[in-house]
Amino acid sequence: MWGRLISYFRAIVGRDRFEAEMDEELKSHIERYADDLERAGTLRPEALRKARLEFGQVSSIKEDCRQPVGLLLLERLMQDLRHAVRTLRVSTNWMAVAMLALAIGLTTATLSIFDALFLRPISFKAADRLAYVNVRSKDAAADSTWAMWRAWKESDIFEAFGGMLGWWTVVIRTDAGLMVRPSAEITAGTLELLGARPLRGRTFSEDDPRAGNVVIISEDLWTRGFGRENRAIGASIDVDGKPATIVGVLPRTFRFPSWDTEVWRPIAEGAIGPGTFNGPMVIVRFRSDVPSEETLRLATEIAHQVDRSTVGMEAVRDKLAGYTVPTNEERAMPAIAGGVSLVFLALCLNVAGLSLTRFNDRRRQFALSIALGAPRGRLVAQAFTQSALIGVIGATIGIVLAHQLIAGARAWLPQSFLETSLHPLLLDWDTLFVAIGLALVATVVSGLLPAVVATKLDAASSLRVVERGGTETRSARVLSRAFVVFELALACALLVPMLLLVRSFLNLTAIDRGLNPDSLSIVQVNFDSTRAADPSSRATAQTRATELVAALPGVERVSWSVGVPTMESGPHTGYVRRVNASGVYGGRQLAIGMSVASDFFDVYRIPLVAGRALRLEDDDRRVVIDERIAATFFLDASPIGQSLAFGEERLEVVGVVRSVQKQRPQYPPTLYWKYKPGDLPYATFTIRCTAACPSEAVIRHALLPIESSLRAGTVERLADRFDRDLVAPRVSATVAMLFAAVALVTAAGGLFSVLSYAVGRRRREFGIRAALGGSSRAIGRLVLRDALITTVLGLGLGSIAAWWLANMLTALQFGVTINDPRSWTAVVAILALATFAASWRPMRTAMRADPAVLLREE
Amino acid sequence: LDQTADLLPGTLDMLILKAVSLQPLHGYGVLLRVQQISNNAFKIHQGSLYPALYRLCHQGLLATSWGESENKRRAKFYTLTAAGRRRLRDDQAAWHRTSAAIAAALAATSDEV
Repeated sequence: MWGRLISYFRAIVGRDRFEAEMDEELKSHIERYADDLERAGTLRPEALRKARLEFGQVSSIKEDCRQPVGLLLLERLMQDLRHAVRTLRVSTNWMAVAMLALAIGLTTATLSIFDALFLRPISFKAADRLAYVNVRSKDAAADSTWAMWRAWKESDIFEAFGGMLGWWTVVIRTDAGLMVRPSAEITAGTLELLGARPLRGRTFSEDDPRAGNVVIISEDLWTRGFGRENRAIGASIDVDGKPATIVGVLPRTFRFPSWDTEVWRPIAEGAIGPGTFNGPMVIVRFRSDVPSEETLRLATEIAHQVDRSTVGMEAVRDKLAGYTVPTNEERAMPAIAGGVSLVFLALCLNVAGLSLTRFNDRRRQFALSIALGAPRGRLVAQAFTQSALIGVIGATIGIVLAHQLIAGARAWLPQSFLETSLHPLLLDWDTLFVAIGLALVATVVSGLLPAVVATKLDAASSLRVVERGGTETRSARVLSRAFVVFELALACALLVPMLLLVRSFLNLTAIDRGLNPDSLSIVQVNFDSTRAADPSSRATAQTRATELVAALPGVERVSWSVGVPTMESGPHTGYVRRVNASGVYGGRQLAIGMSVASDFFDVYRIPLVAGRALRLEDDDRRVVIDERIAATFFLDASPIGQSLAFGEERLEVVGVVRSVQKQRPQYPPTLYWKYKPGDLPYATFTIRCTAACPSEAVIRHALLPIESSLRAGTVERLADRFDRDLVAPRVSATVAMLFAAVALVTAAGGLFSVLSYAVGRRRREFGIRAALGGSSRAIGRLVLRDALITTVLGLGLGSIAAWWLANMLTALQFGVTINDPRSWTAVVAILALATFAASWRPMRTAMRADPAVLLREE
Repeated sequence: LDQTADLLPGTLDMLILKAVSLQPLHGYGVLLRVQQISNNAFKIHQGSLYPALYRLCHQGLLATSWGESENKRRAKFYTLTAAGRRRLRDDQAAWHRTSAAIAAALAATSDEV
C-alpha cells in the first residue's frame, strides 16, 4: 500500500524525470535489438527499421506504461485544467469568479457577524435557564437593591443565585505599563452559577471580600503578565492603584459579563459600585422543574413585600448576553437577514446566468468536438473541470474576502456594540462551508448544462448556428426576463433605502451641535454611601477631586453638573409650562432638567443668546433655558424674567443659551438650573483641556487617592461620544451601500447575461434584417428596447419593495424621508446608467451581425 | 517453421520475475533471458514487456537502478525485491499445482472414469 503511494508520488512529483527515463529506456531497447540484428548480418538502417517495427508504436506503449502509475489520469486532469485556465481568458468567466467571491464573502461575513452578535446562544452551563432578573413595568423600572437581592436569595425560588455590581474598567499596572481593562465585581457563587472552572487556583468564597483585596484574572492577562506560570497564583497585581492577590485564573472560553473582561473582584452584600446604578444585578438560574413564569410570579410577590414602591411592577427575566435590539430598530432585523439571503441568491443566479451568455457558443463547441470523435465522458469532465476551477478560484477569493470583511467589522464596529455579545467576532466556518457548497453547486450545474445538452443532441442540430425559429422560446424568454426583473427590483429596493441612510448619515455629521466637543472629557462619579453619605462630605470629596484633576497636565478647567447636555433623557425629565403674569399655566413641552455649575456654559462653550448665565448666588428657582424652549413659549416676548413651571416648581428665566443638538431631533430640549455640590450621591464633571485631554487611565489614576469616598464610572471624551452616536448611522449607511452596490452589479450582470443570450439566439434574425437593409442603429435599438422594458418593470416592482423597506427603516432615517425626490431621481439615474452599461456589449454584437458571416456558418 | 506459441494470459509477469530472479537485468535483457529460459517457446511482443515491467515496479515486486551494461551503455536494471521473491514463490507453487492438476486431468483414460 505504502509502496504504491510512494510510487504514485514519485511519478507525479518527478514526472519529467519519469518521462526522460522512460524515453531513454525504450530507445536503448530498440538500439540493442538493432545491434543484435546488425551482428546477425542486417545492414544498420534496415536493422533499425526492423527493430522499430517489431517494438511497436512507442507513444501507445508509453501510455500503457504511465497507466499503472496513475499518470494517465493526471495527464488528463492536467489537460483539462490547462484547457480550463485558457478559458479563464474569457471575461465572463472572470465575472463569474467575481460574483462567486462576492456571494461567498459577503454572505459569510454578514451571517457570521449576525450570528456572533445576535443569534448564537451563550455557552454556559444550562444557558437557557440563566438570566438577569429585574423589576419593572411597561414605563417604569425599580432600582435593584441589596434588600431585594437578599429576599430573593433566601426565598430559594431559584436553583442558583448570584450577584454582580456591573462591569467597568480598572487600571492595571504591569511591567508593560498602565492598562485600562474591563473588570467585574461579583458575589461568591456567581462563577459557580455560570459553570466557570478556573484553569489555576480557585473561585471566590464568602470570606474573600472581607479577607483582603483578591482578584481572579483571565487567561489572557495570565499569559501576558505572567507567561502562564503557576507562580501567578498568590502573586500580587496592582489594580486601581492597590495591590491585589491573584487567587485564580479563568480560561479564555469563559467570557462574562463582557467578552473581554479580564479581572473579577469579589464583593459582599451591600457593596456599591461606580456609575448611577448602585444596586446589584441579580443573576439566577431558573429551576428546571418549575415553569419560569411561576418563579417570576413568586419573585414579583417578594419584591412587592420588600419594596412597596414596586407594586404595579413585575419581575422579568432579561437576557444574560447578546445585543438587545431596540424595539424601534427591531423591524429592520428580518429585513436585513432577508436582504442578505436575496443578494446571495441573486449572485448565485448570476453565476448561472453568466454561463448562459456563452451557452450557444459552448454548445456548438461541444458538438464540434463530438463530431470529431471526442468521447462524451471526456467532454463532460472537461466542462466539470472548467466550472470547478471557476468555483475554486471564486471560493478562495470569497474566503479571503469574508475574512477581511470580518476583520474590518471588528476594527470598525464600536467596542460598546461588540461588548454586548459574549462571543468574539470570528469567521463562522459552518456558514462559510454552506455558502461555498451552494455557490459551487450553482457554478458546476450551470457549467455542465451546455455540455450535457450538447452531448445529448446529435451533432448536426447542435452545430447549426441557430434553430429555424430564430428567437428564444417563449418560456425561456419569460423565465430569463423574470430573473432579471427580480434582480433589478432587488437593486432598486436596496438603492432607495441606501440613499436615504447615506443622506441620513451625512445630515447627522453635518449638524451643528451648538457646542465645541474638542478637548472635553466627561467623567461620571459616584459618592460612597457610607464614607461620603452627607452633602458636606460629598462636597469635600468633590473639591478634592477638582484639585486632583485640575493638577493634571493640559487640564484647563473642571465644571460639575448632573448629566451632560447631549443627554437623550435625564434624572429630571418632565413637562415645562409657561406661567403668565396672572399665574395661569399655558401649553406644555417635554424637557430635560439639568443642574450645572456657574462655569458650565464657559467650559462647554455654549453661547449665551440672551440674559445671563447662572451665578453662585442664584437660588434654585433661577433657570437658563435653551433656544428651543424659548421658541416654544416666548415667541411674542423676551423670555428674560418670565415664569415657567417644571412639574410643581415655579421658575424664573434669567438667560437663554444655544440649543445643544442631540442625536435625534425628537429628543427633548434642556433647561438648566444651579448645581449644588454634594446634593446627590452621583454627579458628572467635565474637563476642558488645552489640547488633548489626559487618557482615561491617567484620570482614573489621579482620582485613586480619594477612592474611598468617590469612584469614577465612565470616562469619555465628548468627541468620542459624538462619534459613537454616529456609529449606528454609519454602520447602517455602509452596510446598505455595500449591499446596494452588490445588488446593482448583480442586476447589471444579470441583464448583460440575458441580453447576450438573447442576442446570440437572434443573430439569424438580425442578419436577415441587416440583409434586407435594416440599419444597424435600428437593430441596436431593438436590443436597447428589450433592456429598457426589463428595467422599467424592475424599477416598478422595486419601488414598491423600496417603499416598504424604507418604512421599516424609518427609525434609522434622519432629515430625509421616502418621499425625497432627489433620492428617487438618483435611483432612476443610477439604474438607467447600469442598464445602458449592461446593454452596451450585446448591443454592439447585434449591430455587427454580418449576413455574409451568418450564411457561411450555416 | 515457427514453433513459438502465444503466452498464456497472466504468465508474462511470472516469467519476468523468474528471469530477474536469476540476475539483475535491463529491459532488453529480460526479453532475451525469458526467451532463453523458455527455449524460445513463446513469442513475447516486445512492446508489451515494458508496461508489465512498470506495473511490477509500481506493485513493489521489482526495484530499479541505473547502471552500466555489458557494452558500456547506461541502462536501467531491474532487481527482484523481497515482495517480488515471495510473489514468484507463490506463483510458482500455484502454477505447479495447476499444471499438475491439468496434466493429471489430461492423463485420464476411459478406464479411470
